Amino acid sequence: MMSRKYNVVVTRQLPEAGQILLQDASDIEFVQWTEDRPCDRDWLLQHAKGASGILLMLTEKVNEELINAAGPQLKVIASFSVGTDHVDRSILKSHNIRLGYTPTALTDACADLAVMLTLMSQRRGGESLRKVLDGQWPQMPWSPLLLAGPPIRGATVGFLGFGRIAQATLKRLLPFGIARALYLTSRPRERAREHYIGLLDGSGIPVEPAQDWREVARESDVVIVGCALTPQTKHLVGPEFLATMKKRAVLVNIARGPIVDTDALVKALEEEQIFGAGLDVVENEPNIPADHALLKQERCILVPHIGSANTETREQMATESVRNLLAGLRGENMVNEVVL
Amino acid sequence: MTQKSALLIGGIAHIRKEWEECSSFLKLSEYPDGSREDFMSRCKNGEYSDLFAIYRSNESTKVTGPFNKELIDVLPSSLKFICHNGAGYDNIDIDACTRRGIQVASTPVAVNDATADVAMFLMLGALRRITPSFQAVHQGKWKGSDPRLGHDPKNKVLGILGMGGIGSAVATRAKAFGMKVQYHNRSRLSENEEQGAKYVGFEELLKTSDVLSLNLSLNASTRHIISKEQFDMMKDGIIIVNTARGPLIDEAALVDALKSGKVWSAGLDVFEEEPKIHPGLLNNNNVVLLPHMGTSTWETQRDMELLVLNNLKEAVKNGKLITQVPEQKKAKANI
Repeated sequence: MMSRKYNVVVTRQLPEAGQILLQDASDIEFVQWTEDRPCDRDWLLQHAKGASGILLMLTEKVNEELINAAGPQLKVIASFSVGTDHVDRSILKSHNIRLGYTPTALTDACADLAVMLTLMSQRRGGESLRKVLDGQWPQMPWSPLLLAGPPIRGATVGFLGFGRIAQATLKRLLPFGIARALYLTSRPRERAREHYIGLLDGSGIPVEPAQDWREVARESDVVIVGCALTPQTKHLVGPEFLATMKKRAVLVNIARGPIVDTDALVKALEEEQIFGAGLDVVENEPNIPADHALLKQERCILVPHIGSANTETREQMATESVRNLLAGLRGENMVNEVVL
Repeated sequence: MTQKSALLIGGIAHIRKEWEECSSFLKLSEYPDGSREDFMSRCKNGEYSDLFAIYRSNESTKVTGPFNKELIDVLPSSLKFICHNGAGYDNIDIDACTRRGIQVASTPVAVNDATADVAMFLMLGALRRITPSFQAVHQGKWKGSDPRLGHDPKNKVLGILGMGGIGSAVATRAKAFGMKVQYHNRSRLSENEEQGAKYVGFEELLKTSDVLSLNLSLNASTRHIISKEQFDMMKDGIIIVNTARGPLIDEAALVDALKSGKVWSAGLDVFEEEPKIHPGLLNNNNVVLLPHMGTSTWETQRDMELLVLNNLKEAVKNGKLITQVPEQKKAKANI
């Protein structure tokens, strides 16, 4: 009797450790997108037919179209990400399809990037680099206030969302001498229930839940967006939020582009309503051409969604995703599973 | 033969060199900081799939949370030894380890003297109700507004609950101060080990001691071993000393007993929900408080770290431990 092999689709080449795990699994037949770009939707829909498991990236939407294309034997989706805004969770729930994700592997890498963007936006890193690359330094000899920005020491840092990445970011900012932190979660005014890094009772500075988004906008010198993208958080940072922010405050987004209203941000930067912005994610990414309005704003740093891009993290995400996939096929415990 | 693998959870402060020297016969890795969730994810993700032994540092509970069943169940199946830094190991589920074939070592003996020294400090401080005078002089107020008389330890009856290594060390010191020592223990000690201390039943210990020192380990059956019922049995004006574990005493009941005067003063190094201390204790200047520093000396910390490392080496070289926890050692027939 032939032993059962599950059909599996993998939408991207994985870092080596993940590839090895895939190849070593004796109970799967996998088909994999090999080109170095997001897989074509048609290819995915075609190969999903008959698949029991799909390992995919945040670039692939999991919706009714995909589920129907796959068929009733689909048991598991393993997402190579912590965000699941590209996944229709209710569809998975109604079809009894399990969902794996990688919430812990990338906490440090994203928090590192949040700190980088905070410092770069406060200290006008983008502006400075641009001027040097444009050959303007000779016209810009040292002067007492040349490219001066606000200090991180003594800052009030406001978090939109206060999960693992936000808390890890707070932990990193403490030694920079920040004075206070406040956070807004999906349960306003309530103390955060999970202390991912155990510092909330012993950080030495006040770390308090905010009353509402206005308090975060009004009080913060640094606003860090670290929440999930949901219908409630879409465009949470819009014209009103930006108008309420301090003139010397900076906005950092390491979560999802649509949480920030891009047009409103461009306007706020143009009119100097805020000091600067550091973004790892932006609406409509990756379609940001050279003449995009945001790129014209000197005080905006934009990096191309590299939050979790450190090699060790990506290896860990790869092995975790494969293990989640195999666990879903075999009816075993995943490394990290979304409770649907 | 492939090298065995050991993981350090938390940090090593005093014997870094000795730890790194183990790399000649052990593959060393470290998890100095992170979170429980991250650590468990890494375990489940196979990151430690060939792990043989864990060096569990003193502050590792802050990093990974307690080694309870939930965590132990996701440790790799290759793991055979957990070498723990601490004489108390109530944050490890020993049964769960035993069921998984994992042997656990703790660090008795190395802690005895330092902890007993702190017990005496607290005992003398409580006998003298030292707190207000101590605070006043440091604030430049000399004797302060409430100078008071204390009590001599001489000729007082010290009751030791738990006559293990630490309890015996306390007894030795107390005798030098002229105290009469009695004790209660799971089992009576040999005459040689008793060194003149009198063995009494639990209730008699409570009823007849002037000073009660807790030196027993915390487990499911000793939690709240001292609560209202026990305070009611004690002499009026008793002095309580605890350098063992906070949850041995019902802290709220202790606060009540202090208020009523049943307990004259107390010296405490440990608290039921440390680092949180019952406000009734903070507001009562008849108590002497220390923040769990029983073993906080250079020499003892180094000795403890070395003992953990020596357990680890013995596990690798000979497949056994030097100071395995008593719950795992087979009961010996008393022939």
